[in-house]
Amino acid sequence: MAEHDKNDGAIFIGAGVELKGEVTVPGVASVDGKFEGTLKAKSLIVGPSGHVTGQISVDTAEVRGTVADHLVVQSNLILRSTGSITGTIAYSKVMVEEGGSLAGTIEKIAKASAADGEHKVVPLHAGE
Amino acid sequence: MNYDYSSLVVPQREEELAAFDWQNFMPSKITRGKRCFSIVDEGTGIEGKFIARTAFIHGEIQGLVFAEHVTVEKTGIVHGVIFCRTLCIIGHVKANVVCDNVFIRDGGLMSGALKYKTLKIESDAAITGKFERRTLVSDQDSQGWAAETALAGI
Repeated sequence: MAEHDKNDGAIFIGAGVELKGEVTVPGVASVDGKFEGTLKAKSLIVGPSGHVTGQISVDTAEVRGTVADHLVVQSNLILRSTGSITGTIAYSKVMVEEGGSLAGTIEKIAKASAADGEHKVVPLHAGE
Repeated sequence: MNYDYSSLVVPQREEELAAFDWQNFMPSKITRGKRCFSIVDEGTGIEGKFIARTAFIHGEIQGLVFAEHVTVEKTGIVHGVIFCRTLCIIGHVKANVVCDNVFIRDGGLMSGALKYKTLKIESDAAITGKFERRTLVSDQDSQGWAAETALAGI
């Protein structure tokens, strides 16, 4: 996964913790519990026990647990062998380990400009 | 060797897919114990049904690829429908695919509807379309797949 600035704020949702709502994270969002809602982050790490559902928009994602609904990954999406992603998925680069489950509508998006550090979300096509 | 192609029918429903017996798939059965494979060379085009045990596709196929093992090589392109047991994609697949094990390698492109049991994708591959893990297939969706293949005239 990409290296992150130590000053970037991060959130860790531990196993057994459930969080619902809208969250913006400048750094890493690490989920071993449950998250439901809208999440914008630089990086998403979903542990084997992690469940994430809702509108997720991140630069990079590494999934060992489950992610459902809408996932937009501007850069690298890594689905590990224990991971599962369902719903509408948009990515720039994707890697799936054998055993990972990918189901839903998948599209490739143009990578955001390197000069533009701001997080951009490319809207998914409605109805797909 | 002559054999009856008419008995080779792509399964249309999920229960038929689940019950499909590759051990008795005719091209595999009659070539068992032999090193048999088919190559569609670069520059070669096929329109229609391509039925084989093991297929290496460097050229272009428009229609149905029905084989136990399929490799779409770097220069290979398949449009239509692929039904196979193992599929390795290094070239381009713009097709509806039903397969047990899929491996999309660097440079490979998979676009279309994919139903699979196991999936592996390298980091420089590209995928678009509707993906579905076959163990999770609902009856309604299997009817949808049947409609898609019927529309393809296969």
